Amino acid sequence: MKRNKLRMSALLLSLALMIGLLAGCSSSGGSAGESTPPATAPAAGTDAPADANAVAVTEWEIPMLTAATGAIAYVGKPAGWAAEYAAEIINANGGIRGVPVKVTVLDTAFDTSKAVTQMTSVVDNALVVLGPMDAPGAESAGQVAYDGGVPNIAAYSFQDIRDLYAPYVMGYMTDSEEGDLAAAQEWTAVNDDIKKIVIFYTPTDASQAAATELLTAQLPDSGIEVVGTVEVQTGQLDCSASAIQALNLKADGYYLNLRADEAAKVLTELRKRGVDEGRRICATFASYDANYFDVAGSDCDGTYIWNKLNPDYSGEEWQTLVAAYQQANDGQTPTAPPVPGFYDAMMAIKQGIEELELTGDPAKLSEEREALGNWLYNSPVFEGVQGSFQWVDGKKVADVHFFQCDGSAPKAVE
Amino acid sequence: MLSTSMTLYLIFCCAFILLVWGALVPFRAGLLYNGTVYCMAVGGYFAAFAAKELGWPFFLCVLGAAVVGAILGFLPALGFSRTSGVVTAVASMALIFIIQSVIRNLDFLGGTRGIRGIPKVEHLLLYSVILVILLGAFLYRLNHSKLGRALEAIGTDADMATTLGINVKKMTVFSLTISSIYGAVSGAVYAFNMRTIYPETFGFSLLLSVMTMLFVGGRYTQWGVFVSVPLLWGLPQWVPASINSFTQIIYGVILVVILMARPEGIITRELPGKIKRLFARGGEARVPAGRS
Repeated sequence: MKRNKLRMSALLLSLALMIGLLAGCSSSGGSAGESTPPATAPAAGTDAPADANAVAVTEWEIPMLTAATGAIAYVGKPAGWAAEYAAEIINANGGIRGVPVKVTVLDTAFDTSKAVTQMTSVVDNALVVLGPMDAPGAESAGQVAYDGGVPNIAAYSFQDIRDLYAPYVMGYMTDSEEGDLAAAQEWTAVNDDIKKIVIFYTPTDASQAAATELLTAQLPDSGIEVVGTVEVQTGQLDCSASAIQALNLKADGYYLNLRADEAAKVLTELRKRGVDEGRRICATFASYDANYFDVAGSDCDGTYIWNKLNPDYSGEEWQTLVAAYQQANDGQTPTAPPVPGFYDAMMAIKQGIEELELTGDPAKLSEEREALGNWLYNSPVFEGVQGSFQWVDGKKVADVHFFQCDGSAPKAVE
Repeated sequence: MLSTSMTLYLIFCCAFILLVWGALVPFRAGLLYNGTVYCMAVGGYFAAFAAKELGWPFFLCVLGAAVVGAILGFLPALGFSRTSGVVTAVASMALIFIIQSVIRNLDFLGGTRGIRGIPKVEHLLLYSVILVILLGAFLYRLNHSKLGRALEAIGTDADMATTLGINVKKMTVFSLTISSIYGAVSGAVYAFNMRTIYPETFGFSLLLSVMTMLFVGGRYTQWGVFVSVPLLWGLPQWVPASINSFTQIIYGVILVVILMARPEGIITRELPGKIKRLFARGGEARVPAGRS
């Protein structure tokens, strides 16, 4: 018996020693979150460069991290599609510096640890990474991107995060809180009898919580008082109690700072319980989805909503994108900001690689990442698929769009 | 030299091995305790805060997380000692709601946005492996001690255990507190690996993963996690990108197939004994079932 115990102990110790040695090897190499990226091949098919500025790869490989599954797959999939579509357009026009580009979509499943895992799997070799397209994923994976020194265009919607990881992170869309403030100010300016408002929001959503805080603090400067906030949980089935809670606050207007499903339910409850004038309700960009308009239907009539894109934008490039999107998605129109966001990001990367004459040479990976990161972080003005935009200290600066519903159809307000 | 992604993966495996062990301890006493995830959040946040704001070194953070986890695990355990079976499972789920809600409302813990910029720990993989070995050895000793046998007796039949002189309530509190320590240490390792920590992480999705790992690996032995954790955690990385979206379906299929084919999980109670006998010349060792 004792001999068996001795054998087991010896076996365990040997195993521990082996794992320890293995771990020691990796740690001495400093692999966990190493700040200096290893100079390994950026993409398959690396050729020896003919001259210093010649392209050293046969294909530019750009990883795209998105929530292809999980709670926000309805925007995650379009995000991945947009990046892949942009690659198709680029390749049809000769690629980047004459070399085709390939987007590899990796699923983060709207899970921060999976986002970090996926980012870690690409950080050693990628010249630039797109996504995660959700803020929690981006904030977690951003640390890995920053440590690896790889430029990352993702959901960096807060300035403190962009400052923390500067100059390697850029937001793929404009800051939601600023859009919410601008929309609320516009809405109350157009309807000057609205002086007291209630804000509905989901407390677990950092962006919605931050926007609610900003509106509460800033709107009084415009003569608008936030008389109360009402919490609505993600997936809440019955929103009648939330609506009654808001109605009891005797407000003039209701700001729906919610995702589409919850916003539609709250809107329906408010209209059912006596808010006859649609103009007294305004919804945020996250509600701008087919679910919202389909579920709320005619209750949308007269209500306001804002978005980071205009689905009816008349530009030729956008119309071509919409046609391709409809072909790939059963006739649906893209309404989610990641679609123009990641399309534009791909085009900006193309321009950056061309202007900086990047080669993709593994030996120059570190310096080329740095050059591209700096170039994007404070970028020139781009002509995007929905008008001009630019990154200033990583923050995307672009127009937002304001709509009023005619029936259940949103119409742009000039 | 291991790649960055392999290092991260192995550290995640260490964190989840500790977490699943945390769920395993009360399971021996017949309790499906969901508070392990709650203690993971407690430990993770404590370590993140201590490292970032107070500048504590790694092992002090882990020790602190274990102590705080033990205290905050002990208090609800006093209540859970009066419950059993399904009641414990459902009631302990409430702890997950409570801790998420508390964290979201505490500004010094970053609220809904969590804590970012947790200091980097050199040799984190080595430290994580050391923690797994230490806590694994402790669990092995516990399982083979009088206390372990008492827990198993409670799990088999609580009334019978009482007639044998075992204080069921005390043993329940003991097992839940030990479980909390494992959860808290796991949270600390997780936080240092992620370098960001976020309240939504500690939700039902995580709980589901832990339970899947426990049931697939083998819920009656501490060795099952060495199979289930690397397999289930690594799955999204191993499957080709084209079928990455089907990972959740693959998880479900694995769980169903394993539970149908091997109800005890991949590593059954008898398996460690059989392996042990392979090492023992002439099959001298005789290890009773359930003593792994």
